[in-house]
Amino acid sequence: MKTLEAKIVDATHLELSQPLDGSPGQRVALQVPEEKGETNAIPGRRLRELEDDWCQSHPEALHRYVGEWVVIEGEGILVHGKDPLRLVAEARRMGVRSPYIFFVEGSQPDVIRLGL
Amino acid sequence: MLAVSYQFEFLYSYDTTGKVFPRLEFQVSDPGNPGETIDIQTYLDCGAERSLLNGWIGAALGIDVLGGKPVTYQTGAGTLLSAALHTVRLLHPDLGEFDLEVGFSAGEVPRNLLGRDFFDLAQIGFREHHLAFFVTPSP
Repeated sequence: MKTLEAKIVDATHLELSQPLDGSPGQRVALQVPEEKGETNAIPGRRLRELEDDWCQSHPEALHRYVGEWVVIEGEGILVHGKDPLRLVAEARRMGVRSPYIFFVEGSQPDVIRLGL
Repeated sequence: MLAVSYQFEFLYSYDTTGKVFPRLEFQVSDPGNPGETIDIQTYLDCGAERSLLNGWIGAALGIDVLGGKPVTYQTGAGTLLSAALHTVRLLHPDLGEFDLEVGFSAGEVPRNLLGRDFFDLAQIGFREHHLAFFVTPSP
């Protein structure tokens, strides 16, 4: 096997540095660098990153509250229940200035979610 | 070829079902009463004409939700949802502040959606294969 250089003319044509000595119809393999997907964008910070990381690493803690709202503060569930307004008020009474609250959806196999 | 550059990159987030979605967390407030805030999750939805937040969020911020202009949202499946329009302030540590007229739902919805009204304020690009999205916080 030998290595030839080729210039890319466009997306479907190459210009070889020397002619091929194989017969027409013979196949050759090309090695092309894989796109690495690098960008110049700065990794964005996330509001409530600590809480989201905790939720991701403790899914079992949330599964108990499927169908409820939860207020997460730091690495734990502060309050939970069916009435989000009451939970926000409770969290504020406990000294949380801006409660982080979301609904715990349960996973159902074969369910594909739309926006709503 | 058109090259587009973005300021910030975010990875998709896991929801409680174990699936990943393009999501941003914001501190939300009433611009007229910025002292009361709640931190919420919002899902980016370029199919939604306008953003939709849970109505109880408005109530928790001290907003008279039913006093807003009444509107109806229609889901892809045709279901109708009543809502009322109000301006809220969304605050993010990197993206800054956005004042947005959103719908507050009359009933509970499992997810808050950021629709094309938000996309009008920020440039957003998706790389679904890489589970990443990109944001520049300006139109």
